[in-house]
Amino acid sequence: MERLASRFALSASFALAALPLCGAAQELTLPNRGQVRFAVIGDMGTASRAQREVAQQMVRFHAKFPFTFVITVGDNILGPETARDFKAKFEAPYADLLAAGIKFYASLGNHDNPEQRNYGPFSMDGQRYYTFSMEAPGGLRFFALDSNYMDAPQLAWLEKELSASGSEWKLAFFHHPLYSSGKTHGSSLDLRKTLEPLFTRYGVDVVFTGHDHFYERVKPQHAITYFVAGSAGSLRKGDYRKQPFSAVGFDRDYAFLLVEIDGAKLHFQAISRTGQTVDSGVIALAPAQPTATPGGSPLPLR
Amino acid sequence: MRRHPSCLLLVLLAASCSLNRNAHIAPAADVDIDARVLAEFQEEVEDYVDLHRELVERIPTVGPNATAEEIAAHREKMTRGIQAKRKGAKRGDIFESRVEAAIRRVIARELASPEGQQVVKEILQGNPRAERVPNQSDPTRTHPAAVRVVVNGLYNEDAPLSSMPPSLLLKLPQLPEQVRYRFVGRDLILRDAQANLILDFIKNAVPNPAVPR
Repeated sequence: MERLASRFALSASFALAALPLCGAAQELTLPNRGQVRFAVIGDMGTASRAQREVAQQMVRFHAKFPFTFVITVGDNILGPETARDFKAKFEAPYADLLAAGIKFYASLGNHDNPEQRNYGPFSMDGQRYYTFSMEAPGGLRFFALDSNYMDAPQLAWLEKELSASGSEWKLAFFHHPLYSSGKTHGSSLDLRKTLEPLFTRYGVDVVFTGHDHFYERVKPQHAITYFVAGSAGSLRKGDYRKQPFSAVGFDRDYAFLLVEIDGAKLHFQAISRTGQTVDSGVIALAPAQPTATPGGSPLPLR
Repeated sequence: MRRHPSCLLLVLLAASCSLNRNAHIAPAADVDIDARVLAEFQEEVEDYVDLHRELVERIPTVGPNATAEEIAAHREKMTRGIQAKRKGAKRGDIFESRVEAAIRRVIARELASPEGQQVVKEILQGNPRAERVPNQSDPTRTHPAAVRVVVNGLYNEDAPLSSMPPSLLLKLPQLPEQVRYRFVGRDLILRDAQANLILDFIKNAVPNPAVPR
């Protein structure tokens, strides 16, 4: 039975715009006891000093919060994609994490050549879009999408995979945000019109995106929490223009996101390049509820 | 590869064969293009895909666990191979005139719909004439990356790729994995992602001044 994902942000602490970005790394706010721990980065592949500093901050937090994998929300390699670029924009900045055996699961951004799907360290198994699961009570499944090119085969695949998944937690990640307060890009409305009905119908809980170069958490929309995590190597200062749907935004420095799933709770902590916590909170998984009316037909794709 | 009208029967037969050999390029349900024009387009695309496949078979395969070196080497071989095989290719070889006219109509209809503005906004996302690239030295600053739209020409690797609005994509003939639609300014291009080459294009396919030329 499909369920309506009726989830609520239980709590959230946020500092943001007025936060002084100096001093030593802050403490971990995550409970650090959950079954699944991972990081989220996006728009990072610039080979810049900022990218390396964010990566080093990830390493510092990994020492106290041993996340086992990282998901990327695209723009993994900005600009040219020679072998040297893969090294400078991915392998070198994340060398310590890669050496620690941390696996990266990538999705494609608008600066990424789709051939990145064959790059072993991105774990895409040769696919533009793919799904994988993690061991967690009730099940946890990720759906990595190619939002650059949402064609009919991808939509049919997504509906098939979502409908077949019995996992309690369903998390999607891709590049273009369905909700964003970005002045430069903002919400991808055509994509939202296409994807949101599927997410709602099949109980997607949380969506991670990038593209706009800042951090943002969106208030639950149709019971789904959206994140924009597009500042792990690129930044548009002053680009966050708070929209009514926005819960928190941070565009003053680079950032990444840590996530922990502990049973029916998803804890998150967004951390700046300097180690400051810029957002944190909990999203609860609500009990399953049916969505299909008796004899009802599936929602149209679009 | 333009055909004389008297060859229509042959074209239709060939198109029918093409559909049989590649069921995955069957048109999406929403594509409102004359069946004969669609078959013509599919035939041209399939001719190209055959060429692509022929090359792929001749050069070392890149599996899903490739290194950066293997991917780069593969792409370079694909690029050179296709450029050599398509030497002399010109605008309109794939987007033949009737196909071009039909696709222009589809785009114009979509832009004139109530959601037209949303579609335009998506076309601007990643469009190299509208979006810039973060600098390596200071990623808070950006630089433009020009794409020269030329048949059989390289797509500038520094440049971003435009989004394809899903609602428009679902109304265009579906393409096989080897070939993709993209926008550069107002031009609709066909691009081989593996070879990073522009295969053909429709000049000013987007009739909207909000999209830079």
